[in-house]
Amino acid sequence: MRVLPLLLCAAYAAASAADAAPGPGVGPHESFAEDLLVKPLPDGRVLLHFEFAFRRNHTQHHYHLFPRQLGEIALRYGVDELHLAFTQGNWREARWGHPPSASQGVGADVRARIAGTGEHASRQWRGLTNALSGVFCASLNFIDESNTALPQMAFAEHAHSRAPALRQGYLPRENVCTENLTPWIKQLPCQSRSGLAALLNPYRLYNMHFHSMGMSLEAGASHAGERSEQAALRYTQYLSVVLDPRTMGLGSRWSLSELVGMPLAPACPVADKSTVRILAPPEIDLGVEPLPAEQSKHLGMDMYTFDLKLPDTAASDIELVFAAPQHSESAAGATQLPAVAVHRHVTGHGGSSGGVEATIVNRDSRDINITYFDSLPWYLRVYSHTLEIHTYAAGSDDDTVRSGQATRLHPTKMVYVPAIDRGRPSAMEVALTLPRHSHTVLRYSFDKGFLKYTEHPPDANRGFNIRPAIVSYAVDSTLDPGPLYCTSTSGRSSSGACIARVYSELFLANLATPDFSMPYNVITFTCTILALFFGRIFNLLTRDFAILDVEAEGSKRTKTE
Amino acid sequence: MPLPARLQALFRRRSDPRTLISTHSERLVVLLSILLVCLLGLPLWWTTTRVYRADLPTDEIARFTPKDPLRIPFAFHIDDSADSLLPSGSLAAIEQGAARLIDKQRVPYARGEWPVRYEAVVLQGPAPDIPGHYTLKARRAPSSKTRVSVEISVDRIATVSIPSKVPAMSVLEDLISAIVAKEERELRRTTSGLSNQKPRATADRALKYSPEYAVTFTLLNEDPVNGVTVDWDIESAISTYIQPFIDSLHPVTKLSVTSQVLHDAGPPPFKPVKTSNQTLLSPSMLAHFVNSPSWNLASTDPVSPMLNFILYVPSLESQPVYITRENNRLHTNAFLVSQWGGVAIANLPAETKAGSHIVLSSSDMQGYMGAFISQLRELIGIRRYTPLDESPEGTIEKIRVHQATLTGISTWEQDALLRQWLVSTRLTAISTLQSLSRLVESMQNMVVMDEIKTKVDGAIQELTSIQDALSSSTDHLKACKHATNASVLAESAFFDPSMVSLLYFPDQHKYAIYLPFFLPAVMPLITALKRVIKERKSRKAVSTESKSE
Repeated sequence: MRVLPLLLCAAYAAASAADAAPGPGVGPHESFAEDLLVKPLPDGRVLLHFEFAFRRNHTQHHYHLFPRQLGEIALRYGVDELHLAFTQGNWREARWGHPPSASQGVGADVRARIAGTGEHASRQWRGLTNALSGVFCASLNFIDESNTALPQMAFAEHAHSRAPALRQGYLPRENVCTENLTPWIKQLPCQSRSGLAALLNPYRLYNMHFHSMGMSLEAGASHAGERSEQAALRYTQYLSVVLDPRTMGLGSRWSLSELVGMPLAPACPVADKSTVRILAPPEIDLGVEPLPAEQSKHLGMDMYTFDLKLPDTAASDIELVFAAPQHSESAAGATQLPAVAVHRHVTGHGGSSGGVEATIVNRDSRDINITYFDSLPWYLRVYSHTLEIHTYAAGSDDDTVRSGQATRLHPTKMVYVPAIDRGRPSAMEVALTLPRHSHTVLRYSFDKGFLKYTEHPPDANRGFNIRPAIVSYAVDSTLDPGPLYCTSTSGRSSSGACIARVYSELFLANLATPDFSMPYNVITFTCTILALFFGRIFNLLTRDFAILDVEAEGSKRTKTE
Repeated sequence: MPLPARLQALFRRRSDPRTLISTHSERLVVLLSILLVCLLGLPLWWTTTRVYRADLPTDEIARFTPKDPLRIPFAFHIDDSADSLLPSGSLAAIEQGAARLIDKQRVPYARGEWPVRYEAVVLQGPAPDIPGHYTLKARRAPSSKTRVSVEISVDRIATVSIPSKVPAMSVLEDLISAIVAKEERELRRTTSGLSNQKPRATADRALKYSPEYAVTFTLLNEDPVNGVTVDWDIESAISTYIQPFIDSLHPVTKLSVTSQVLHDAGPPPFKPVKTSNQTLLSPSMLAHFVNSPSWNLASTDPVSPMLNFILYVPSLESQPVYITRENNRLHTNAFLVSQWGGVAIANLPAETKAGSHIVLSSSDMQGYMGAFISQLRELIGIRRYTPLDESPEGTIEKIRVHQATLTGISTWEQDALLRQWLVSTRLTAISTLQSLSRLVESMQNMVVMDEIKTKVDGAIQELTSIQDALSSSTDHLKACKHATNASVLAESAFFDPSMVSLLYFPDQHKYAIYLPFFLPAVMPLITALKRVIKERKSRKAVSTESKSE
């Protein structure tokens, strides 16, 4: 390397250099806001929800705050809307209420609307998943046509009439770890040097009960509420984690920095907004020290808002004081549970066939319209005619008890896309009206296909993780304040009601697993048998056999030559 | 005797052992028929297990050798319409004279070096606007001037002023041969890295030719918390300073520009020398400057090579930061990283207060953008002093070369770059094709699909049309496009996924498949053969014995 003297400095000073720079208000504009929401959960655990929201109102290739890599990806692959989530651990909605983010299924979940149609869009989708896999160091490049579903009803609320089809790729076996967190943090303008991202301590974040890390990117033009000529790009990065302070030796009084094991850093200097909000549910007697200037009610809970941009809060730590000792299970009943819950499990045994049974609970005292979406890989060959939907009246207030007579329920609308072997997964979307206080059970059966022996994953005897089913429904805002992502500043779509999404558990499908050394065994085995057979016949053909007269020949045995 | 009968006989109890025995000729028939089956089966086995190999044109590939030089002609159109200095028929004489002078200056090519011969064609009248065609305007100098002077403009035009007592022909010969020979010298200097010789430092700096480069400008702020927050008006800076350069390169290569701001980049991964009022960086530190893993500089472009330009704003307490070389402060405060990009260090005005927000305007960045342009020129491979440096050549005493102040690249420089890329991509294409044919030759198990053959044929076609484009129309741009196409085709053939799929099909596996059957099956065959031979011998011995008796 050699230091290069400036050669043309003066030469290239063009006459138009006098053009004044546009002020901050005019021309391309980008904004960035960071927020941390701390919510103690009824069972003594704590939910931390970090949200980093970006906006830009232009589509040039120049990025001031907005992460360049993602902006470039969105432009290159014609992305209208993109959601990506890496999740580990099940969200226990019966204890914790509504989940903090819309995507909460275990594994990696990618959803995107890509402009264009047909083969072009599929190619762009493959390019997109490959690019994302490079950016986030994840195996998203394994998303191809065979595990991409195109749901038509389940995610329809964002779409305007001309919106391109939504593609959803799902990797249920994807693990989330620091290697995904590091590139995720890299997208932030201050990285983890200042601001709330400085609290992201991998040692604590992965010692958790639930962890969901994701991003969503929306081109403003795709929303019905906004004008299409103002091509705004909204990008949100979020990370939700449920920690247990008790396992960290923290009692009834602890500070935020003790919980995450990192000191509270000053706000990111380029952030327009930098807040820590503490949300205290009514059933938890919570004190906050020091008390912030701003206190309000949010979702029917007390909310304390600390503005980190103010110089006095920047330096101090935030302490949470719990009046009553933390009790785990009894408090759970007091929280308002989400109206709909879904659980799914696999039935049947053996390597040839099985079935799926999904239970959807309606806890509400009114009928709810839901969409059930389930996509199974091609090697589980679903018989759509076996779909049966029964509904039971719920017994008392316990979710698990069913009582009363089963009644058959008919879907109001159903879309079923059969699978193509090695081409696409099956996709079942059922629109149902759930009666009040009811359990609805969907059952259908499938045959298990045979895979080629190279198609099995490592540790094939463990079985295949099958992606969760998703139930979506509109939250009645008069009765239920709804989940966080509906009320947060950036997450909500500008039009329409809040659509809540509930993900079921994964299930493991056990397919007939071959003995992987089998091909060679079969070859040697059959070859040996053939060789023995050949040897016998050959001997018979070429050897002479004679029967000897024992008396005449004396002690000699039968065979000669 | 047929098999069932023999089996029947075997189990029937007979007193005479001799009746059962098959004849020896029968045994031989069995053996021979098995061998026959094997012989007939072999071709069948061969055809069913053979891999498909398209027939690559290896002879045509081998025909590209260093023995045939690439001839690149320059077309000089002499326009003496104003003063008509030249007698008719002198053009051919100029051409011959120039060729003689060029040959004289040419250093012989070493063995293994791919020769490129630059030649001059002299024509009449103004030149068409094609890379490779140049107008030489011959003028009678005003009587007051006695020296020959040449003025080379940015637009493929050189104006020669010739005093009355100097013969015009020899001046033009000198000028033409100087331009052509200099370019050939420069080209050999830069492309010598491609042959077996040791690469030179200057040639090493530039990236290989690509039809598109991803250029990223990054503003790095070391410490916004204790210092200032910065932003820049990169949009107008790029449109003012960089865009003209990009536009003028557009016919040959595309520079796609993006920019970003890293607001909290943290310190560079080394400790600079801090004195009381300034911080100094020595050249040895600069080698580690861009290695910070937290700087998010990675490209999302899957193909194009990347060029990074970093404007680094050091933390307020260490400002001003200067790059020093041998205890001298470098007044540009910028440095170049070979094949990667460039870095400029931006010191803010001394009166800047901590906590303020600073927006660098387009005019603030003028100096840095100038440095970036000169780094960009170097990284792409543009040579300074094209077509001539300003030292006297032969009869020409004064040469003035205009700089392209608006665009940053003159057409002369652009054409020289074009020819340089033409030569290097052609060489890349040829060497790729030759390695491909060597690879296919050495790996007999490798599948060679028909598409590979189509691509190789296409590459050869493009390679041969390079010379056609050069000799028929002297269009250097067209020739460069052909070379690019050839190298793209050759590389896509070489890196085709179908080539790797069955590369590994080792012999051990074949033995493992065949042995379990053939070993047990062959054993009885061999013993039977041995027995037959032994019996033949003993029978012969018996018969000779009986004869002799």
